Amino acid sequence: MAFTFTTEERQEIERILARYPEPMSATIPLLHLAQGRLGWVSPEVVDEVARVLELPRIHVADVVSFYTMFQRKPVGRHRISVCRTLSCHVLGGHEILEYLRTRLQLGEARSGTDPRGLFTLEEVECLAACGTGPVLLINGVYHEGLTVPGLKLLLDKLEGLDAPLIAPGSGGTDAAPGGPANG
Amino acid sequence: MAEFICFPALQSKTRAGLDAYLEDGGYQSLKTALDRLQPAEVAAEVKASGLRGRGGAGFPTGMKWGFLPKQTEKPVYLVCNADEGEPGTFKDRDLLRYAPHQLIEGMLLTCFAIGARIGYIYIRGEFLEEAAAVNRALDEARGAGLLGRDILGRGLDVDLHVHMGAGAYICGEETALLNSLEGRRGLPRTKPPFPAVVGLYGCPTIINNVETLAAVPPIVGHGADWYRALGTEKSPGTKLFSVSGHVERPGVYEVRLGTPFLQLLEEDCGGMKGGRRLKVLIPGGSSVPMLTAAEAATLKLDYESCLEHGTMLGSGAVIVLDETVSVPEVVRNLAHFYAHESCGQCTPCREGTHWMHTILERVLAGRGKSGDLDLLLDICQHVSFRTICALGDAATGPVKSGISKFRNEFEALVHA
Repeated sequence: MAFTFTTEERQEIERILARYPEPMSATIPLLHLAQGRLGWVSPEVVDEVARVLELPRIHVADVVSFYTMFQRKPVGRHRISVCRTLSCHVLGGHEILEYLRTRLQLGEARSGTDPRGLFTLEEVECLAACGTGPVLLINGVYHEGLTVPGLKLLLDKLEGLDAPLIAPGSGGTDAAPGGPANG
Repeated sequence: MAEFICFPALQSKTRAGLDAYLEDGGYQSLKTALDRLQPAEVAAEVKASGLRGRGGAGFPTGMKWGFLPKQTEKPVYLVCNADEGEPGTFKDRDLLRYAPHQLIEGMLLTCFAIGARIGYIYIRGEFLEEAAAVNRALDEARGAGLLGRDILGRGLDVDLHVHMGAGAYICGEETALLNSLEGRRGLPRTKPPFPAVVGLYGCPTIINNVETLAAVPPIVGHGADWYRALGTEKSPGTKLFSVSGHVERPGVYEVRLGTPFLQLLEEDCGGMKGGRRLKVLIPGGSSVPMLTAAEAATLKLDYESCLEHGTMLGSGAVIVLDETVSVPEVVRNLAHFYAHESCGQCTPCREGTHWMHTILERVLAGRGKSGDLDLLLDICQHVSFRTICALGDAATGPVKSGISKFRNEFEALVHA
């Protein structure tokens, strides 16, 4: 599917470009901008960033492949990034990971998306919040000092499982399923 | 008990705004410098303070600034390294969140001292909240005439910009950071030339850690002698320590260099979690050799004592591990980190970190072979100091120290 930056994004791009003497410096900022809207960096995003910055496509593809925050496949509605490095690990990070793998029915896989496409789990290295481990990100937001019961509540909320049953025709609820985690 | 001398905003953790910073005497050092000092005098004060790079390498800051060419036609850049990622380190995160104006003032003083008009703050991509705090502070500073053209009406022109990374530990290495900031993959560059001569966009560039730059305002404000007196003769000043692992009160603590480790552990951190016993201390981030409890008992938190104990102060990331941990498991965890984060540019590191992790995996899985421990140590020999940057050598720190100090734990796995 084609990807083009919107008019508003083009204005943001102008502000980004003004910070640097060389447009190439905007490569990572533009990829963040595109991923922020699309959720991942599709091949068409690479085309568009290369076109806007007048760079060889391979340069942009090369950069995308190097940095772990850029997703090269579509992800579930909520992206969960769990720190697996030492301080979090010894404070129970591995239990968090095991719980998530089971809940997301990932089978033998260490990471991936659950069958409903709701959550994507990834293991990441040190998130620089070691004093409050175990730590994970949900859609980019830090959640610190987590326990398995605490995480369960958080995910229930995201799934809408904690929302009260709604009688037909009674309208919506504040507990919007799939809404963002605590911002 | 914990005291914050150079970084008072970390005490309250609520006073990140400009008004609070000004109330606490913020930007006074900048005013003093612009009114009364020449750029060279600011640089001389920092040099005299003995401030050393707080990102991990501990290189004297004043000396680093001194490597800039005396005459140059090119612009000079200042880059703040906020790509915090050394496992165990989370002090810069607190400075970005709670003391962004102190960082900005430090960068302005540094730009004045080195003649830079543009500075970039390279923040790791995951630090969205932290970047937002810095951007808010930059906007406040711009609005108050503290950033941009003719700062405080005293003729200084400086602008600062936030640049977000995208997930790569290696970008904390300063030349990899420059490549990343230029929009490339974060591969370290061969040195020389050093960034002070050929840095960002081929121009003279100074790269300093967040904590290093944030230490500049108190140094300029109170003077080099005041700062030196806070620490020891050879390790002047204070340093932030990020304490994690099995302690009652983990967190960021400002410590007078030369303070005994046990004092930090017992008085600031409330001792070992659950009263269990200390087994392993990693005093300076995952890259430095680990210490046994007996070694830790005599350690002082300064550069010299760490060297005497065969380890390094690094970024001040104190990882405290109790008797419940398996050292081979700890070493495997860190080996995974380095294998994942090697940029792949240099063969010894790319292959060595991969094989160290692979061999440790099989040892932990009970499939180790009798020669595996010696093989691991042999790989370390082939990685250390045979690469462009220090990542490969860092990867060998936990492996070598773990096997040499806790060999029986590894032997038990291999012979199980």
